[in-house]
Amino acid sequence: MSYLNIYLYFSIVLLAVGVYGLLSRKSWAKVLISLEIIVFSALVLLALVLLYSNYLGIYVGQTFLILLIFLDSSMTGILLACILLVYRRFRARSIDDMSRLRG
Amino acid sequence: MIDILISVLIGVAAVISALMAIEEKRASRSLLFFVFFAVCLTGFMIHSRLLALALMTLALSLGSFAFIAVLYSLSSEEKDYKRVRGAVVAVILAIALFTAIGRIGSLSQPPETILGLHESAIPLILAHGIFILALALSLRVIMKEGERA
Repeated sequence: MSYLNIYLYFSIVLLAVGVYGLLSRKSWAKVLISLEIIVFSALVLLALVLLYSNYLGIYVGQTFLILLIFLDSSMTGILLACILLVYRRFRARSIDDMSRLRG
Repeated sequence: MIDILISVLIGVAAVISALMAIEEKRASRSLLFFVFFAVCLTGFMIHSRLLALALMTLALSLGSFAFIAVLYSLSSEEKDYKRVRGAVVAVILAIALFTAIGRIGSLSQPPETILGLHESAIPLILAHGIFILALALSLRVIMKEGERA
């Protein structure tokens, strides 16, 4: 077993940690941290599967990784804007307060 | 052997810091653990000989750190956790994925010299830069509309 396999298992554990945080926490910051952890676990998995795959070239993997990194940053920006707006309008301080948005 | 040792160290440090970032009640410590987690991710990239991507990951995760720091001022203190539900779902998911991933054979060693990005990736980065700029402008419009509403 090479060290790449260890990173493969490490990405699964990271995904589990992120899912745990997403399901058990309610404050905005913790939810965002959990989302970031999930995205980083996907990043590790993509880095391993795409960069070291025999079927795809190295540069295809790099392109996918760049795409994921930028998508992650834009997702965080949009989430922050939405949360700021919800906070200003409803004074919602956690996910539970968002139930007011139900149609 | 040293490679395996380093990967185990980085993996364990990243998982522990991620858990602590979620579990820690004090905002400052939670943010500190998140930064440590980002550094561990950068270590993983460097260890896999992806220097350029490591720098990008570090820069963007520090950007996320700034966003999360802003959000901490808006968040309330948590009192009731649903730890059991979260832990059960996470463990089931991890076991299912371990079973699925276990079928993958041993990954080969990475090529020796991947330190920088390929030339063809540079236009892509520029295009993404423009995309991020457009995103920032649209965020500004969203915020203004929200204030008006």
